[in-house]
Order: sequence, then structure tokens, then C-alpha cells
Amino acid sequence: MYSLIRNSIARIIQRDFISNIGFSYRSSTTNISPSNETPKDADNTTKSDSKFPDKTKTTDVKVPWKSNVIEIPVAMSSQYLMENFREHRQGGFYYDHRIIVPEMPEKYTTKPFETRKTGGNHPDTGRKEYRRVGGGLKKTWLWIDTMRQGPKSGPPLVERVIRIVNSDCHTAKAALIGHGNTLRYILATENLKVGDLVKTSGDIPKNPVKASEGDAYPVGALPTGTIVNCVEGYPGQGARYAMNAGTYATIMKRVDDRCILQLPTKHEISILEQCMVTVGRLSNVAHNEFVYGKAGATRLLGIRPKLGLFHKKTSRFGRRPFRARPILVITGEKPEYPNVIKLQHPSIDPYR
Amino acid sequence: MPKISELRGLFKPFTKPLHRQWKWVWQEKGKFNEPKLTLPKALEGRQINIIDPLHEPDPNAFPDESTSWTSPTRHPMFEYLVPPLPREEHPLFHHERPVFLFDSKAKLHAGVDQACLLTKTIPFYELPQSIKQTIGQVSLPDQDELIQSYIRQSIAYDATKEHLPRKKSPLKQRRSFRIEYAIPRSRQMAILLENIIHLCESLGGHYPDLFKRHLYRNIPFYTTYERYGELIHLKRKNEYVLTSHIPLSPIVKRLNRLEINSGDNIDEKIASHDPNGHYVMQANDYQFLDMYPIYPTIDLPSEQLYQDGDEQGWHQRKSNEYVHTTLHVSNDELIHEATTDERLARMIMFAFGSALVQARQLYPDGRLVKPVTVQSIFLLDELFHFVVFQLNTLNYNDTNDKQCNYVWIDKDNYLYDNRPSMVMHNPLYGTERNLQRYVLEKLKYNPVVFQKFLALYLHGVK
Repeated sequence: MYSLIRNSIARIIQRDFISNIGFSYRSSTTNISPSNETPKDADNTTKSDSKFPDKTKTTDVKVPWKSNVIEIPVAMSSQYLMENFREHRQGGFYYDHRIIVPEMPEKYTTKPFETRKTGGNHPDTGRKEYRRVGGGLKKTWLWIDTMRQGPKSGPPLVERVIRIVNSDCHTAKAALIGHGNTLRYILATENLKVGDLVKTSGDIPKNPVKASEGDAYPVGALPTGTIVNCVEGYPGQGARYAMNAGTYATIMKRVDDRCILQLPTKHEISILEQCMVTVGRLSNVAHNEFVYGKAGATRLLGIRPKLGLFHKKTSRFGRRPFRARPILVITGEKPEYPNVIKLQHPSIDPYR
Repeated sequence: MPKISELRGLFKPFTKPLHRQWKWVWQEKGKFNEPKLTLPKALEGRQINIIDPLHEPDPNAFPDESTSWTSPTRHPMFEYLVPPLPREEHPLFHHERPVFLFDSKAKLHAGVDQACLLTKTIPFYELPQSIKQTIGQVSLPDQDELIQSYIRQSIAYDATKEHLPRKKSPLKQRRSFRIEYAIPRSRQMAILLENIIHLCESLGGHYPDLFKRHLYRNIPFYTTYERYGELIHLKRKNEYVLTSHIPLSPIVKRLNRLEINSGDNIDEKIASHDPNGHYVMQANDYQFLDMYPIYPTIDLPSEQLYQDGDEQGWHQRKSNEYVHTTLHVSNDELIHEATTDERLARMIMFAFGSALVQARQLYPDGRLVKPVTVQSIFLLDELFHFVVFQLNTLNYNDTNDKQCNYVWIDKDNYLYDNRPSMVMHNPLYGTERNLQRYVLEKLKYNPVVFQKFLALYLHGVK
């Protein structure tokens, strides 16, 4: 009897399965056609990157709050995370050697992400890499937009500061800024207040601009001696230098199409003039005056106790200071992310 | 196949390997003898087509299409086996037009001013003059004693003791709290509010109109409207909705010296509206918030899965049933979960929504003959906000139309002061007896709040 029932149900399920397959087949075909189109779209976007006015959208003046507003979407995407952070085997990524963000977001969001601790383990092999990492309080990760890109010509992108918050994973404070229907987090500069307007522009005019705090410009647009933060290494790379609390870089001089900046470490770098920087010193200036107060405070931060055996022998720890380093000249194109394909026998993989 | 209960006692642990025991049991129990089909004697003589359910039906017969067939893969029993449909294939998924979703958790960062931009409303931070005059006019015998007893009942004298949700402090993650058994705050608020409403209903002897009111609980509400080309979808579950058989008369009747026809002349006499043009003059001075370069919809998520049309909670509109007051009971765990401004903004949006639905049902042609008024009351523990909303226009897309809606806001009304901390290990009020004693001695009752509540409740009663 059961066999008979099973047969009839099997027949029904088979019919349903066929219809499902039909659905999936249809959906896959529908998916294929956009995927065929996506490379074209990507091409379009790359083209419009070079010609920025295509991307900017000034909406109709009829709506009172839409007049004079320039809208640019956030440049950051999950591609940035894929390129700049190590991937975790369960789908997320390693933010740093302490923190895993378990979910890989589809596109830029301002929602806080839940995180896990690495425990100092390697993302792939799981071996202990950092002896002094482990434990600590829970942290949430905020996706901070470090690629501020404005229109290449015409009026700058204006944004309003909505909120200034503390970020668990960054030493400087984060500012929530918005324009149109777009929200994003940036690192807050020292004197940024709620309600301030910050500008972003990709234009390099003949005369240096008069910038106020929190504005983002190419280095070439700013006068020498300006204090800046969130400095890019290559144009369009995303900020790399002077990202921590209370730090800043100084524009020392300009040579042809390059600018020489003094970093917070007092090293000097020479970068292209198109590299975006943010004007001002980063917030949370008193960060270096923080007193732990008790031994357990470092444990709450996820730092495990150390032995005094293997100390550094650099200038800070008793040796004579070394001479200043020569200027680091960053030349050439932005290096492409190497496409590494790991070939491995499945039986060797310990996580299968 | 044998049931687990049949096999109980057949396995002897620690004697033989379990799989071998199972094998032996299976040899005995793993058979099933098909029962013979026997006809009852009563059916033998009759000419009845007998269908054997256990065997294959007629292969040539057509499938029975009388009842709609749902795929077993979509049966809730097998939900865990089959992945759910993607959002895009949901029947309510709108591919062409997304909306900005405003639900009960939405927070507008600029608060009331932003809500006013979205709903084309002008706020006044007081109760309307006509309601202010009626405060304290009507009173019930022993009303203050009764309300205080309701407060005491809700805090200390209710027999429920439930396991409250575990507390956690986000700033001190390592802090642990004790397990607490007490009256949950939702129940406290329900006791207080329902008792107050019952007390108000007891005036039915004087005002027979009150017998025609209905109180709905936990009814769904949604509506969609267009503001400057952007669709905004309001969605919420209303905790309490009070309806009456006559609509509330508008508070301001003369708008920009344009006489709006009111339905009957009796209303004109009773409602003391805006004789000196006080509110109209204030409204002309009001400047809408300049959020440049932000659009007021910035805080609302874009949503493509939504329901079209309006929903007020009852399926078919009854001939005379109009929303009188919506009561919002907050379920926030912490008082700082949202600011006062954000809560007021939410109230304004939903009061606007229910007024809009009512106006659409009254005037389906889109021409608003008479303004629609709706009241709304917020409750969080002992805190009350009162909002009166008057819908004057249905035109939200035209920049030239200067007609605006009005809203009167009375915020931060505390029914009593010195609310005890309900923490069990608080040495002062830790025990039940101490809490009861505290409630009797220390609470400072504010009688004005109930008078305001009563004035709003009796608004529109002849």
C-alpha cells in the first residue's frame, strides 16, 4: 500500500519538479540576459567614471527640496571589500586580525554589522597567527566610505552631517552624512558638527581652492601647508594614510603633477595630484591620552597578556635613532589585484 | 514501519550493539501486511461506486480539479525541505514602482518638521482652543481616586508575575542582571489604558452617543500616497482604534477665507473653531524645514513588496463608522529607544494616514469638501502625547497649492511622577510589599492629564 502511495506521490512531485525546473530554467534564462548586459553596463560605468557629469543627476526644480541638489551614488561596493580584505571561508571577510564580519553585503549600507572574533587564527588554515589576540567585548562594524568621489567639473557635491557616532572598529569618530536619498558614513574631522555642510569635488582648478573642514578634494586643488586626512595612494584606490584618531598629513610642496605629503609618521610620500584627500585633522584627538586604568581593560579590548622576552630593539626601546627615510615615491598605475587560484586536492582541505 | 513507542523496551543498551539489535527488531517488525478490502454488509446490496483509497485509481480517469491543488513542495509541512520563493516572484512584488516604507519602527532624524514636510502639515504645539476650553468641564465622581487606584493596580496590585526578558546593557556587556519576575510593562500599560477607557465609557448615561462607539484592538492599517512623485507607504498594526458614528467636525473651518461647506448647520454652532483667524495667521508665518541637500524621504527604506489600496482594519466600510482616536501603545523596552520628536513624527504620519483613508472613502472623486479630523494618543508607561490632526487638502503633488494640513501637538504629559524603579534587587522597593507601600505613599498624581484625555474622548459628542 505504502509503495502505491509513494508511487502516486512520486508522480505528483515529479510533475511539480518539472514545473519547478521549468521555472528555474526560465528564471535562469532571464538571469542570463541581464548578465550578458552587465558587462556593457560595467563598461558604461567605467566610461562615465572618466566623464563624471554623466553620472551626476540634477533633478527637476519643481520639487522644492530637489532644487540645486546634485546626486551621486556611493562609490563603495562589495568589490572594494573583496579586493581589500581577506575573504573568510564562510562567506564574510576579515576586517583585521581581530575581527570577522560574517556576512558579505551586497551593496553599500549604513546599517551596523555584527562581528565575530578571530581569536588570532588564520582565515584559511585556522592556525594561530597572533599570540596576543583573543576574547574581548562584542563590537559592531560600520562600513565607512573612504572613496569620496565628486563631480569632475561643475558645482561640488554637497552633503549634510546628520549624526556623529562612535565606531567600535575605528579610533576616530564616524559622521553620518546624507544627500538626496543617500546616506553614508565618513570619518569625522575634529570640528565637524551636526548640521554642517561638507563638499566633495573632483575638480582641480588653476588657483587652489579655499576649503573648509570635512571637504574632500584632490590634493592638487589644495594649497600647500594644508592639513589633510584620509589620503589615497593612487587615484580611486580608497583612503590609506592618516586614518586614525587625531592624525593628519601635511601638504609640503607640489612638483609638476605630483604632491609631496608628510604623513603622521613623519615619512614623506609623493602622490599624484588626482588623489582625494579630506581637509582637516581627524576627530577624537584625545585618543592617545586614554588611560587603561586596570589590567582587565586591555582584556576587554581583546588583547591578551604578554611576556617581556621578545622586545623590539628599535629607537624607542633604547637604541640610537635611525636616520630619516627617503621620500617614498608612489609611481605607476594602481597594481591590479592578483587573481590567485588555489589548486588543492579536496581531500587535503581540512574544512570540507 | 514500527513506531518508536512500539519499540520501547526492545533495545537493551550496553548489551549488544544497537545496530544489530535494530536489525533483529527490523526482521520482526519491519513488515506490514496489507489489510484486505472488506465491504461492510450495509453497503453490499446498494449500487455504490466504491473507490479503494489504498490502491491506484483509474489511470485513464481525469484528475479531479474541483479543489485547487497546492504543490506538496509548497505545503507548510515541507517548508524546510524546499527553499522559499524569491522575493521577486511574490505576487505582491511591484517590479515597476518602489515605495518608501514608513512602518512603526521608522525614525525620521529631523522629527516633527520632517514629518510635516512629508505630509504637508503645519504644527501647533498646543491643544486646539476648542478642546482647551472643554478641559475640566466634565468630571466624573471620584475620578482622581479611581485613576490613582488604576495606577496602583497596574504597578503593584496585579496578580501577574512573569519572567521578564533578560536585561543587557550595551555599554557594559559583561554586566549580568538577575532574573526578574514582575508585571510586564505592556500589561501595566494595558491595565491603565483600558481602565481609563472604561471610566470614560461610563459617561454614556449622559452622552448616549458614546454607546455607538467601537473600540478595535490590534487591527492592521496601511495606505499609500504620493508626495511630489514619490510613493510613501504607511504600514502599522494599530493597538487601539476608537470609532464613532459621526465624523469629528473640523477645528479650523475658515481656511484662507475660503468657506468650506460643512455638512450641517448644527455643527457650526457647537464647535467653537477659529473665530479670529488665529491659526490661519500662525500657519501663514510657518516656514517649512529646509533640509538641503537632503530629501525628507532619506530615512525611509525603499520597498518593492507592498500591498496596494487602503486598509483600516474592517473589511467592508460600514455606513457610518469614522475613526475618532487611534491609541498608540509603545512597546519600546527602553525610553531612549526613540526620542520624543521621532515618536511624535510617527504619530503625525499615522494620524495623517488614517485621516487620508477616511477622506478617500468619504470623497472618492478626490475633492475634499469638508476637512477630516482625527485624534491620536501615545502612551509609554506614564507618558502621554496628544495629537489632533486636521486634513485640509488631498493635493500633495502641486507646488502652487498653498493649502496645508494642521496638527496640534500636546507632548510630555506625565500622568504621575516618581515612578518606582521595578528592579527586584533594588533594596528599597525590592519586595512586593515595599512596592505597594511605595505606590501608596510616594506617587505624585497629575490630574490634568486625565482631564485632557477625557476632553479628547468627549470631542465631537453632542
